[in-house]
Amino acid sequence: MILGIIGTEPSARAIMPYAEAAAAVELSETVEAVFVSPDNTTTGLDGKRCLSFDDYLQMDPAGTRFALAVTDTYEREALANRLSEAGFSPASLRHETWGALPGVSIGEGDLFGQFVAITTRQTIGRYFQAFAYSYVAHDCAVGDFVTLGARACCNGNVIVGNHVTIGMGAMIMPGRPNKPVMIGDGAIIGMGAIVTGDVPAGATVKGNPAS
Amino acid sequence: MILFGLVGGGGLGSELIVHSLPSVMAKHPEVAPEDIRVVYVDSALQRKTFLGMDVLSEEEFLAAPATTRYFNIAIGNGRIREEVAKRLEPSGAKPISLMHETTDMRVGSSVGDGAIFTSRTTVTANSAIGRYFLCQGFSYVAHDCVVGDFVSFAGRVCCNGNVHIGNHVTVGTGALLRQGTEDKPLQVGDGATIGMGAVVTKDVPAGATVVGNPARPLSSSREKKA
Repeated sequence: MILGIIGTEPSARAIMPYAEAAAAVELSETVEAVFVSPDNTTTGLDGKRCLSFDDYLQMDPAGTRFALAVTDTYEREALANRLSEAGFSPASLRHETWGALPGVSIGEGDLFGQFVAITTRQTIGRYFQAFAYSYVAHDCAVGDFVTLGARACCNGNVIVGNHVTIGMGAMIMPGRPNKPVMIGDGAIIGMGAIVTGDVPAGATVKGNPAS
Repeated sequence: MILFGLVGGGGLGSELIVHSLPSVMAKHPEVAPEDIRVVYVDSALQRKTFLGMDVLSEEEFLAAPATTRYFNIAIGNGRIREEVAKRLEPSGAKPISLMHETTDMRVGSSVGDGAIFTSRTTVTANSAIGRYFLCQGFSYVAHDCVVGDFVSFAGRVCCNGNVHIGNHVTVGTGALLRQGTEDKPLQVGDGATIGMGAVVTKDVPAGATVVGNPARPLSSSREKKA
């Protein structure tokens, strides 16, 4: 099985060292991981083959899975749509140190870095990316194409919309069961921001407290 | 039959229930898992079961048949944990600590009864921690710290070396407590509250609430904003 890591940016290179092992766990067969360059450059990287996107699309979808290591959430959606229309399926790549409690559903195509913790009673959408040490606590709902930076903390009872980017080390205060904290679609939460209330759709917030 | 009651059927309780059976089994390796009953204890929860577990009131929990009765308290507020402990302990129920398998507890540190350590928490060398400490995911207590009773840490709290924390202190997500020295530890007074993401660089008086970077009392940071 060929695993195409779509993307050549640092996040793709960070996934590569454990990608084959993680995919082998999910797919129960040996996997060769290759980079796939969205902009069609084909120089090998970190000792791995690099295919152009066009060449990847020529492969037999049955013999391959893809992982979208693309930070921009809208580009991630566009590539996911293009690949699924062409018949390709995503893999889910989780570093072996990740952990979750019961009662969690996670959509397809997720990427989890080291020590990611997903606790209990939550729904996470498609193509979720969570970098090292980030966590999502109880009773959260996370939309599609969301990125959680390294060490980002999403506390309990938070509703995160689609295409939200939560920066490295940012923290979201816990909501209440009857009044969750709402992070609107397309919101961007800056690195290290301390979010103490709702964030409107499309807004960018940063600082402590975030504004 | 060993009975374990997790007091509090809220979000924290939903996260901790999976730690319950393994913690009782670790203390009683001689008892078969089917001889251990795990229940929620919550009089306010308006239902008979929660996450597949029976929900009992405190009275029902204390009256249910059991050879040994254990409990722990999944409530973030340290003062409420104290009230519950004061009611249950004299009635013959014993606290049992809940510790996730990834918790890293180093030699030379001591932890009081009824502690809760969730995933990837660490206590390093020579720290003394009081009763009913709540330490949530990724938090750590470094060397030579003294932590009082009924203290609550949210996730990712960094309590560096030589910090002395009083009783009933609450520390928010991701707060950083600067290290003290052996001669002059950083002091956080009884009942203080440290806000989410606060960077505590100097002593916090008893009862104060501090927020921000560097952390300041909440009232003065509000005035500054105005």
